Amino acid sequence: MATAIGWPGARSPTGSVLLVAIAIALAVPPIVHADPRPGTSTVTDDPRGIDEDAVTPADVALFVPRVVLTPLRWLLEGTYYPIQSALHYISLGAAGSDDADEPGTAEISPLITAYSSAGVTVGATVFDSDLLGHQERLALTVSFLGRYVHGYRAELEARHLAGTFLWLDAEARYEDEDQLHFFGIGERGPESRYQQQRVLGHMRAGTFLFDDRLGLGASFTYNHRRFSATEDSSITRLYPGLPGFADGTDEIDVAGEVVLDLRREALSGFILEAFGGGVASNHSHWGVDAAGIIDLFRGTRLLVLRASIEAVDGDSIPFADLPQLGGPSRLRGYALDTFRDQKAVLGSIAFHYPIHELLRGHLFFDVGRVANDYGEIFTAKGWRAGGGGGLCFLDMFRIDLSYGDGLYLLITTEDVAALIPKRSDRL
Amino acid sequence: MRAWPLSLVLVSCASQQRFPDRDIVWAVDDMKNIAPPAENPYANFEYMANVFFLRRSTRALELNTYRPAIGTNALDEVPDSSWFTNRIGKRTISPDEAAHGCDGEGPPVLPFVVVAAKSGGGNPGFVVKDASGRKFLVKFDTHENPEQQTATDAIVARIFWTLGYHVPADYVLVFARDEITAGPDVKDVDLVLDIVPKQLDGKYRAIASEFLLGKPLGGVPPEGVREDDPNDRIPHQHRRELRAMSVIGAWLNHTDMKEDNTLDVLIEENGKKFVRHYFVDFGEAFGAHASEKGRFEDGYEHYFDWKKQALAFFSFGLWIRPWEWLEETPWPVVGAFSADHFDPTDWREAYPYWPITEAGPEDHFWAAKLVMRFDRPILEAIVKEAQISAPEAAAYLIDTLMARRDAVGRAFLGEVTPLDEWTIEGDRVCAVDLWVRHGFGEPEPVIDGEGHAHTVEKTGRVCIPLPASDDYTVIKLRAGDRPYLELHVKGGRILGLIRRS
Repeated sequence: MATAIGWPGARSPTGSVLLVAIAIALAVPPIVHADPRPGTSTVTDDPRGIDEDAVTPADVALFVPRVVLTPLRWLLEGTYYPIQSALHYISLGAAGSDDADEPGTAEISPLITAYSSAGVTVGATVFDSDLLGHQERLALTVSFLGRYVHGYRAELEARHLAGTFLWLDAEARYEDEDQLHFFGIGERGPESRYQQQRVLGHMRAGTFLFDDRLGLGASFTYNHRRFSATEDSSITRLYPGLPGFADGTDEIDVAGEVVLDLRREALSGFILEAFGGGVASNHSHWGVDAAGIIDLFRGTRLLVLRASIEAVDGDSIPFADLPQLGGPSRLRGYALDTFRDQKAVLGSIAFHYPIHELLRGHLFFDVGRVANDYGEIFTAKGWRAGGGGGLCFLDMFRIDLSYGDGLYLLITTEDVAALIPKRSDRL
Repeated sequence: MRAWPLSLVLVSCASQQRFPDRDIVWAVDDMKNIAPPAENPYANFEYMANVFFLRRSTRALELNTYRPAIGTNALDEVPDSSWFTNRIGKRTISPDEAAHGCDGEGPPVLPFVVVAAKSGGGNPGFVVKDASGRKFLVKFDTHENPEQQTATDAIVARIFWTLGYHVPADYVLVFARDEITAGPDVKDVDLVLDIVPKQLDGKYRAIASEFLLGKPLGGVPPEGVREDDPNDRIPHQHRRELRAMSVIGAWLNHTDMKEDNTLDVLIEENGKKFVRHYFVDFGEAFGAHASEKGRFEDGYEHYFDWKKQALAFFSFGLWIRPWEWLEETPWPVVGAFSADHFDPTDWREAYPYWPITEAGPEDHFWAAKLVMRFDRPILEAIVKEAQISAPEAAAYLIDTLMARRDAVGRAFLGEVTPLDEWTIEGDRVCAVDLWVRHGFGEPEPVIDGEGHAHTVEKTGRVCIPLPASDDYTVIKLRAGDRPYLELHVKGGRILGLIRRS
């Protein structure tokens, strides 16, 4: 082929001569191949008998751009060469191997969560999604950086433990977090930071009835927390006397739980979770979280509507026990836990749509507010709104860009495919 | 009608002859004796990285423009070679011959002896020897779509053979457990038989693909030539018969087009060693690739389709893509294969195949006219070889192939002036307007370079007077508002044709 790529001296006099030569070549009729054997029907090559490599006007027009792009192409080819070689080697090595999933083995997945207001947390999760053969999920997670100095978490989730009637979720955590944010109670105040060391034990047990549509259970949570100021002492300076800060908390929380799950294969339907309980010495709390999933087109376009309300009632409630809004799962477009007070409501609408079999897009809009009492919570004032969109790559990672009081970016490998966030994340 | 012969003479100067004065070349000798080339093992990750990212980006920087295919003859046809043998495009193929296909010595003779496990590919199978000592690769269907891949393979292989491609001989067959035994080096046949679908009568249905005689050398690179094969002189992306996959692939929804589904084989014949080039493994055409991978977008988008998937992202879900309307047919053997929502010009192979990327209107026309030569009796005979158990599924498949065939013809025949089947009849040169012949439009006069109109009959036939002189003459003709074609004649003979002037 008469590719002009790589011809030397494109901008030199030699290059000009070449260009003139091409122009002259265009004006001259192509050479007719002499056929030494007229009348034969088989030749070695050139069955058409005309010059296929004639320089076209397009070649002339593209001569300079091709020359200009050649170094870049060479650079890319040089960069790609080791990648191609490695892939070649890996392909041939993998050709004879079977990639069957081995039952009874655990998987390990990296954990990365970056949120604009909380830095980058990294870690890993080892999990088995079918521990006893009935979709019992056991996961062990370690986390570092970002909001954590270090965090360790063990979880077991089973709707039918070992195939029995027993619904059991259990969790144990140790977390040392050194860069948590506090913006005051009620309306957003000045930003401050604090540290927390926590030991959490949580168990939820019960049973699911009516073809798994109705779940009844009780939960027990032990929460041991100690707080301290960061080096800048911002929290003690800006928010002196914060309930629960100085002494920390040692709480045993008991609650009853109801789950109404009318979803069909998680693609459409309705789910409601309600809970109520309290910490005997201090406060009671309750909440309802309802979500409807509407299949708009053949399971590929889903509209997810969600509403939740959460409330605590009591005196001198520790600041860490107050319902919070803000962050990637509750009121996107705001820093994590920007708002907190005794009552919080949240409404959310999200639309999920397909792009590729590995990639989905979504758009969302959240509204919410916190308030000190029931009379205030449903008034028109004080609502905050945030919206945005994002991409979900399989169940491997999700990217969200949201805007509320600022622009927030979330990149995470956690619960990527979940249409509705897990409540246990807010313990 | 020879009142204006001089008006046809646009160029009449021997020094400007474009085509040499010789017979049309219908065969090229690219089967000369060569030293055995090296094997070219298929590296899947490298191949996919190249077609989607690496080579794709460097190709973009080459700023390649469209070039007509290389290696066609003076009539813009593909001559016989180690790549292609003219069949339905050049002669009448009977339904029986098409159904027989590349039979070689005919179907395998039971019982089988398993001699090795099958390597590569997604479906279970093994290598067997039949009672006559011939070697076959035996593959089975999936439980989800019984009969689908075996039937598809048998049908598409015969269609490819009828078109002119080199393919292995593939047969659907049914055998009982006691008609297959393990050879001395094989541990347990039941390891495979236990996981493949069984018929109600307890027998197994499979496709048996006869081993090609010769030494396999690996796939045909989709670009460039084999440097160690002196017979391989035309860059593969510029081969008309490979570019034609843009049309044939669309017709058959043969989306699994990649180097691994082609095969170079070192042949030894008459004391010569040369490479013959095959297409293999057709079991994932029609709706089978979609059934196996769960991807209804097969045929509509590349696996990574930067344009369409970017558009899907920015449409925020409001654009419902054509494939999203597809429905599974009631027959697992057919899957979601349909003529509905089928736009041949927008068809996409699963993995970008450079010859398809390079294809242009001339290539489309050539392939479409071959496709249009498949009539219902031929397709019925071919589909019958697939032994589909549900007659209504077989009938649907034939109807769908006919409907997609017409869609292909309508999409591609009209990209150029669709005159073909040239003959010299006395002092006239005659041709057939394929657009009219296939009923895609009413006859419209053919216009020559001087603006004269020539009547097209209802059959599509049209004749144009030859120039009175025996000099080298270029006749320009166009049908409708399509580009002119050039017919180069001299002394009452056609020397060459340029499909788009």
